Amino acid sequence: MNDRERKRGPDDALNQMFDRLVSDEDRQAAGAGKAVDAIGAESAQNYISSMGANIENVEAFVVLEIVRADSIGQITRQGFVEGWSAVYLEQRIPADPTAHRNYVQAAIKSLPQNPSYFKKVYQHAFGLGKEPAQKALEKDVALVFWDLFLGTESSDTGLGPRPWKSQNVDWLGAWKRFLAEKWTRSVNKDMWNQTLAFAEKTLVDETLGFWNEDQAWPGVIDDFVLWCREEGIAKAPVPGLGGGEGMDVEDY
Amino acid sequence: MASRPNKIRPIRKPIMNRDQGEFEPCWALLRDAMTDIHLQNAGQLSFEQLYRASYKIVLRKKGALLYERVRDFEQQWFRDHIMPNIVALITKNLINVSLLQHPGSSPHERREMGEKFLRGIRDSWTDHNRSMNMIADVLMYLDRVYTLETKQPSLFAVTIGLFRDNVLQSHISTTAGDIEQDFDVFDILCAVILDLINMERDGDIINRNLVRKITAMLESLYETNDELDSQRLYLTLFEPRYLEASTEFYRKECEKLVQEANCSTWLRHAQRRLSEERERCGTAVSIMTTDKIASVVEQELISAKLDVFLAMEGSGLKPMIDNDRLDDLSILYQLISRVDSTKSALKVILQRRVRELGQEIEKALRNTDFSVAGAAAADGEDAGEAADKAKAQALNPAQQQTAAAIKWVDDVLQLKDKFDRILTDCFCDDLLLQSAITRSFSDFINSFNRSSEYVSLFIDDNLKRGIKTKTEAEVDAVLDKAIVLLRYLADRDMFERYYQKHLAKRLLHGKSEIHTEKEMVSRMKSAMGNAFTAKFEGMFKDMELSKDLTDNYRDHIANLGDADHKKVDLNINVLTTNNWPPEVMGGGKSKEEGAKTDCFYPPEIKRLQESFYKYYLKDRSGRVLTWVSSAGNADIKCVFPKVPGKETGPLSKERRYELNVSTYGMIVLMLFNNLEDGESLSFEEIQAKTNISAPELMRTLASLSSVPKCRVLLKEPATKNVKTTDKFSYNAQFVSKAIRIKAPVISSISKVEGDEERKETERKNDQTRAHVIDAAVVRIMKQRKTLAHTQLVNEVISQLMSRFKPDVPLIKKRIEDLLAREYLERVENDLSTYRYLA
Repeated sequence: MNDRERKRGPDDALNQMFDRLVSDEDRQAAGAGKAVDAIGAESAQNYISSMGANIENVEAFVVLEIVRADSIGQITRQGFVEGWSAVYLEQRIPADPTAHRNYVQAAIKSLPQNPSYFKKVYQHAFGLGKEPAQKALEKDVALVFWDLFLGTESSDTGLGPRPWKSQNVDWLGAWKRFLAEKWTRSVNKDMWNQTLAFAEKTLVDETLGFWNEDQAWPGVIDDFVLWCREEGIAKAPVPGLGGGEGMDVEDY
Repeated sequence: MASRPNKIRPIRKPIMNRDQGEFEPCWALLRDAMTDIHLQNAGQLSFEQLYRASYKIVLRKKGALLYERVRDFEQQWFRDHIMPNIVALITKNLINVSLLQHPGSSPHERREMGEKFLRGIRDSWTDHNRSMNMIADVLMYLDRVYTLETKQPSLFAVTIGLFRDNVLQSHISTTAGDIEQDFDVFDILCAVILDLINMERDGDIINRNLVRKITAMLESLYETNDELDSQRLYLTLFEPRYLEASTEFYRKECEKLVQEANCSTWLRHAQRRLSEERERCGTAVSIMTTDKIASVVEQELISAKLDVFLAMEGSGLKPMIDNDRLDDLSILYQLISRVDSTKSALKVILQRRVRELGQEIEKALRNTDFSVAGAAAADGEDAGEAADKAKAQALNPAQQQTAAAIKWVDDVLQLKDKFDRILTDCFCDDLLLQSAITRSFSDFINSFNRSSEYVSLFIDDNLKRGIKTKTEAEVDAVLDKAIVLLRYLADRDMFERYYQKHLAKRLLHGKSEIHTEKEMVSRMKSAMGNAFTAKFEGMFKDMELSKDLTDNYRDHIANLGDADHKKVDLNINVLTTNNWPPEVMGGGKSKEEGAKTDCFYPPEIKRLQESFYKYYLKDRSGRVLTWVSSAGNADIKCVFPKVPGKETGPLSKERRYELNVSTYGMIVLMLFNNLEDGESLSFEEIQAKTNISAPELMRTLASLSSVPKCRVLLKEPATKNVKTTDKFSYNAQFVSKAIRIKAPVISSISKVEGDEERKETERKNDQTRAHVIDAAVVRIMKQRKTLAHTQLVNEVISQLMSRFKPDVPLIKKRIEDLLAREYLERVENDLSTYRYLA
């Protein structure tokens, strides 16, 4: 690494690395004689695998988050260079495939233990899953993503990095059942983000005692809580012990 | 005095020695006089002589000795002359009865015995008091000089206090049963008085004067000779026992009342007790105790079992309200005001009852069959014309609903009157209760989901039907009542919507007096604010402008000069779209009838429209007029020629009538002008020629062919309902007694909405509300930038309160929507705070 590199980051080296990922197909897609600004699905998959990440699960999201991808099937030059450059500036990870691979592996390992990093990857995934023209995630896609991130034993994809279940409750299972029964619409960004926030809370308090209908939870989560109470998944808190019920006693 | 300082003795001694001889004679004189005074034999005594004797003694510095001698003398006197009498009065029986409360003696006996004892005490006290006054007068110089200098209590205080020490506090021992008892005379005295007072409370007549004498005595005696005000024996010894005994008495009495009496009796009893006790304090006890004894009664007799009495079946608060027992309620209010300034017991039951009665109104409404009951009320307007209708004609569903609405409002107003009366007559217009009642009214009125519509209908009905037969004052009262109800409504936007609709129909069909309408709206304005009535005022303005416009246009046509005898007189209303309800403007019910279609006007009318439009645009270029054919009406002069072959009766002559029909009716009738005799038009033909929507056309044809009084068309087949396959022809045989005939305009009846319509109205209203809430949220967030969820919700509610009561879930949904539309975002790591995105 020379001085120049140290000052303005490893942009040149990263550009060269990106060039090496480009396949003939990508070149064709870009058009003859034009600079290739993005690689397609196949190259992207190869790249993800080369980083030692499983293309089938959340590990892929980790890589895609680093390179600031907008969709699953595409990595842009800009995202790749800016993303890795930021990693370099933050943690001095050199522009080198082995160093990158090690970094990715460490990031994957930290996912279950580091809630704020997990949240970052989770929230980024919303952009990966939705159609570019849409504002919301298709419900089916969201369901798959939830399995990948929060998967429990009942999930098709097996355990995710942060399984959404507490001692007695398979929350993800319940959530999916609830959505199948009551939710027909797509999943907007707020619902996506708030679902994780809600999940984190349920891991701490599986009685749902933290919930209160006067709070700012999205309506779908309010409905889910009520549904859980009806289904006996979470018992309503004892009246008078901080539950919402005691609040509006009429002055009879 | 033996311990006086020795220092000054050497100087005084010679003088004292010299004067020693003079003390004893003087004292002897005084002592004899005191004896005489006690024996009420003071007539021969010379005040001057005695005064001089004491003066001499004091002058010779023997005041201390005299002071002591007098006291000793009095003490001796008590021992020798007074106590024996007192002791004689204290019989074993008295002790048994008064202190040990032995049973078996009749009240009469007890009273006799007690009063005898009291008389004895009183007499000796009176004697003592009188004697001590006289003695104090005689020894005035002693008090002035000696006691003042040595700062001792006055001689009077000391000698009067002897009564306390020697009589009241003297011990009497007795053996009751096996137990040795030890009493003060005071204990007995007190017990006797309390016993007498309780007897009086039980209805016996006692010697109040005597009791008062004794309590007065206790008031003028003190714990010590320093005579501190707070140390009066009355206050330190008697009053606590009196209050305690009274507490006991009233506690028992109250328990008994709970068992045996009803609420009404209890109220009167408690009231009587209060005034008795007050009176008793004045005549038998002491005014110092008036307030304290009152609070005992309040606590024990009123507060203690208040809830039990109020809840009593048949006599508690609920039946009092239901049966308008105003006297009971007045007393109750007075009593409760004494014991609880918040009057919460009264308030709570009152509120519950208001709500219950309100719900009963709603229930009664559901259980009432309006199909016949309301008939008499409903046909007020067209009573004359209705005469030929079948007598017991059932009301159609819409009319039934309207009757229900009127009944509901009437009932609510009656309930309101009832509680107003109670409030004024019984509760002294208590503000606390007034607002409680208001709140309860508001509660039940708003829990009834049709209240907005019903209130508007009530006003509609009264302005339309009632005003003609009512005096100004009555009209005033109706308007006032309407405003009263209006204030209770939380969903004012719903009311506004209905009122706009009803008002529009009244204005366009000339169903009401314009000045009354304006009066009503101006009252609304002062009650609800300017914004609330803006649309209504706009409607009035449109009407006024239209009138001018009509006149001016008429002048304009007249000035053109070409007097056309077939000229159509135009009366036009130009309505501003925003002020008028969409239903009237023809855009509202588009759902089933497809997009707004314009009907085909007859050429005469078409010309007229064009002429007017041209005139209108002269001063107002650029404006667009849309003809609302569904909202107009027309007067048609029609001629029915003599029917051939008829020589007598009305048919034998030519008949001219003036027919008032809807615009659609006019268009339809014009078609028949060009028809040959015997020809007919089918429904489809008519529709094709007029382009009137099928439902409208059915209504129009029904009014012209089914209703006997204006059956100018004959229908084939002659069934009641119009079908699309029917044929219509000119009714040459038409006869009517009236010259002016009004064809019923079906759509002009303001009626309660059906369930479908109602849902539609609510849906529209909810849409509007959603926009209003969005706007409020954005307005608030724009100003605050970041705000917590709860605060935001509260802020929205308080901003919109005057229009309607926003539903919290709805607000939440709107916030979510604004989040999705990225007007707002959540603040990172804070679940319940939003940020405004510019």
